[in-house]
Amino acid sequence: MFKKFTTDEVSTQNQVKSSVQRGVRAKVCAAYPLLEESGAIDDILPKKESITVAKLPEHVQVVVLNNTPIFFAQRDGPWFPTLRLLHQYPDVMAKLRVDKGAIKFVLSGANIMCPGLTSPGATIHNEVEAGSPVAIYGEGMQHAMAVGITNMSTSDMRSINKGMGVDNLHYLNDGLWKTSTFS
Amino acid sequence: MTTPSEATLQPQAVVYDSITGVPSEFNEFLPKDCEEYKKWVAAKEAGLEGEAGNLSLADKEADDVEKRLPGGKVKKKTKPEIVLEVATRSKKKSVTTILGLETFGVKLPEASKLFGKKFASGASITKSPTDKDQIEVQGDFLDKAAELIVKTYADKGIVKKRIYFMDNKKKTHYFDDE
Repeated sequence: MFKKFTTDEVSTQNQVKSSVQRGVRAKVCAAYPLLEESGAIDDILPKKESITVAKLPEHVQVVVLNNTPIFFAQRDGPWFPTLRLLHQYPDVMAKLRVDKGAIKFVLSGANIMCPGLTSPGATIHNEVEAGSPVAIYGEGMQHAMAVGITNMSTSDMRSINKGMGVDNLHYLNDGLWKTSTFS
Repeated sequence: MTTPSEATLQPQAVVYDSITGVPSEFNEFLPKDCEEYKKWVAAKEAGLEGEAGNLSLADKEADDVEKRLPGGKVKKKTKPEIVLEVATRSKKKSVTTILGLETFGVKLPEASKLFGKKFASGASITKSPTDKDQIEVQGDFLDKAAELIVKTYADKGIVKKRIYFMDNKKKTHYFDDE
């Protein structure tokens, strides 16, 4: 999604109405309940600060707070935290860990195939349904390296063990990662 | 989403590699053809072979002003140039931005005052997306501004060839006859 992304591609970047802001916040809280329970949501999306939403090609929206991109979404899909934010709050997302061989492909932007998630080096930390946002980790790695959306539930991954398990949306060193500030 | 007790209220500080900008543990897994990976390999080799001084110095220079071309040629990256752009703001209004005047040694506050006076309009200095200062004039003054710049700052070494404008997000020579 962000393989070759630069700020030139931002078509509009507007301060959004407070109702929209509340909507974003509600959706984020619903998707990542831990953020709300721990109160971290107030640090990430303070109620008092107004946020801007940048619109990108392919109906991608990015929530920008103080020039820092923090969440992104495609069309009406769920909001995903950017990796920089996820590194700060690693526990809010469901985690999947791929084996060592898959890491370099993930960092080139490849989608995550089922065998990479079910092999001995890999771990499925949380059981999730299809279509849920997950963080992708690497075998032996401390930090998340990609954010994606599952194509099938984790039980299907084990039983089918073929094809794309997770769509890779945002990964280390892609365009969005390099764009640490929006103007 | 492990166990609630592990929940962190406070943001964790993550250290990113100074060369590649990603957590250091991922350095070796970066795609082989990306800039960051090459830099990292170069830095690592420099460290290993004890040629750190020589190589890293070259690398630093490359970062600052020069860009290494594939043919081994070294090209200066920043040539002074002026980029004009007209952006439409709410239907009939537009703003003209002038970027790069300071690369010719023109003082921006004076220049913005001049533009404001000549065009009888508001002119101010703003930050461009790349964190450079630019002059912003209210209204569409692309043609007038280009000519004014050439006329006024001829003594600063501004030639027509170095003036560009953004045409459909593409940088184009403004005076195409030269």
